[in-house]
Amino acid sequence: MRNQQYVTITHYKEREFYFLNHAIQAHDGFISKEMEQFHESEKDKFIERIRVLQSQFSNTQIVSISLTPNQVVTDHEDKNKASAKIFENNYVVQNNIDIGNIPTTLYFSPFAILYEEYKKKLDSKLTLLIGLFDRKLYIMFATEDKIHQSWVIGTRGLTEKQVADRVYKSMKAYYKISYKFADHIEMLVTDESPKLLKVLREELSLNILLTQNSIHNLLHHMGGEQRRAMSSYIKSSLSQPRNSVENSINNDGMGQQAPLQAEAPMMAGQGQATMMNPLNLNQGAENLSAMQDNALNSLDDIRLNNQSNGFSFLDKIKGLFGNKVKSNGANSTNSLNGLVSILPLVFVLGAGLYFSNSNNQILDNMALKESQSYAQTNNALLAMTSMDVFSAMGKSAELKNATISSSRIELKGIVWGIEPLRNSLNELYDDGEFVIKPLENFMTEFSFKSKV
Amino acid sequence: MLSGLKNLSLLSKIIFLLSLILLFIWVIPNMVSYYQNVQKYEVKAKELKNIAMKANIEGEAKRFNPEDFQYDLEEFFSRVEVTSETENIHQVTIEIGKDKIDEFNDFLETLSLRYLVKVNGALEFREQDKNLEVKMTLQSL
Repeated sequence: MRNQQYVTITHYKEREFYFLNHAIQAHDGFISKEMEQFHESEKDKFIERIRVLQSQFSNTQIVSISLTPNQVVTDHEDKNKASAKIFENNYVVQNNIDIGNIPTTLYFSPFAILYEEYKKKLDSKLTLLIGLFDRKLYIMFATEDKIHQSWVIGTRGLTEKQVADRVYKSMKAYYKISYKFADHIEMLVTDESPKLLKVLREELSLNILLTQNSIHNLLHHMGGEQRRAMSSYIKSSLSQPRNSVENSINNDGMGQQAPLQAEAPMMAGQGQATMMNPLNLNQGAENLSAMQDNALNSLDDIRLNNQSNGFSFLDKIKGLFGNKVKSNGANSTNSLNGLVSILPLVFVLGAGLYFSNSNNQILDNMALKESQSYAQTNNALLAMTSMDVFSAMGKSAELKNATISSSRIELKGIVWGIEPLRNSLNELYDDGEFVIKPLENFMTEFSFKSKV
Repeated sequence: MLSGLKNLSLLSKIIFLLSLILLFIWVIPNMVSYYQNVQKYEVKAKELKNIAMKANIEGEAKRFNPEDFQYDLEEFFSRVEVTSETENIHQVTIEIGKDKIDEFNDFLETLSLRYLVKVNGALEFREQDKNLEVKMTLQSL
């Protein structure tokens, strides 16, 4: 039997993990349940879990955060893009929301969350609001009526000190634009990193006020109340019209499952940042515009830039190897992945050993054939030399000793026809040394030496 | 592909990378070398086979065995002695009639097609009782 409580199911993706949570919404706040974590490879399981939660409760909103860095705060709504209204006249606009198969009914921008978190503190004095979400700094200078400047800065791979340095740099950059320092600085940190908080406190002014809250809690808060949700959720050009969600919430009191189904952006896992053009809503003096240009240039080194500039190849490689296993579920998946990934290694080793052995074997066989071929040639030459020598002697001489090799010949014997033998041998070896020696028995001995 | 790789755990990535490295620096060079050598081997084997066919010799050359070699040669020559100096070096003495020198030359010409041996150094001919004694050193291949 389905539970009638209103439940917000929150999820987002950071690095290669999906994080899922749900909370029972009550009049005096929400009661959050235990967070669940799924590896990317468990996407189906993750979606199934959302479906199960949906089926358990009749009134649900599935809430997620859009962590794309290409969100731009403007002073007009772009109907062709995904946009969310914040402040009276400001909109957070992004090109689109990735529509996928992860059920989501409400998306919120970090800027909207920042506004919601600090709107009561805003007044006519300039306040710097900084949100650290998924290693990206969402920064905006705001007063109670509007946002004056905003941008997104990446901190991926940076140390806590470098993150603090970037926050400080952004403050300086804004000073270069407006010649104003923020009167008040608020920072919302969603990473549960005591070290980061400590460093931020140490490196930045003591005036900076740090708040730490989890993305899930922020989302439960955003989706927990109908008016709040409607006022600042991102409306996709591909999603249902605004009133479908509004009606859905209205019809069910605390909110009912809206028909909007859109995939949560996967910025964290994708890790690809695109440039967010800082918004300058100050339409003041012309010289201010020129100064802004100069100052914005000075942000080039810290601002999340386009893909080619924002992340070097080294960063991508680091990204590939920088992921850490966080949960038991992920551990088991990774173990399975590890086992599966051994297969190519086994295949490579097997193929390598096979070809290595086969190659050695064929090299041995080839060396044998080479030797055999060489020996055959050498033997044929020897046989030819032997044949020539015996043919040359014919009946003119009788051989006593002979040494025949492929490089020299030495002959000794009895000769009866000296001139025919000399001529025959000289025909074969014209530089040979032919010597005759009369013997006591009236016979003549000959010797012949030559190089072949 | 990169996003697929990103889905894997660190260990899987390391193993995958190791597999790739091994594939490119070990497997593929060995495979290429193997097929090139097979081609060379086949060319050389065919060349020897053609020579053997011209000499009416069938089958592959035999491994040299002193006893078998002596037995085979005694069929053609009056006296054959094979003395093994080492495992691979063999001193062979053959006695032939002076009128059989052509047969010896034929035998010498096809020796390495029949046996996996080569003649080391020179042939030594010496007249011996109206016959010719030939000494040669054979080395097993």
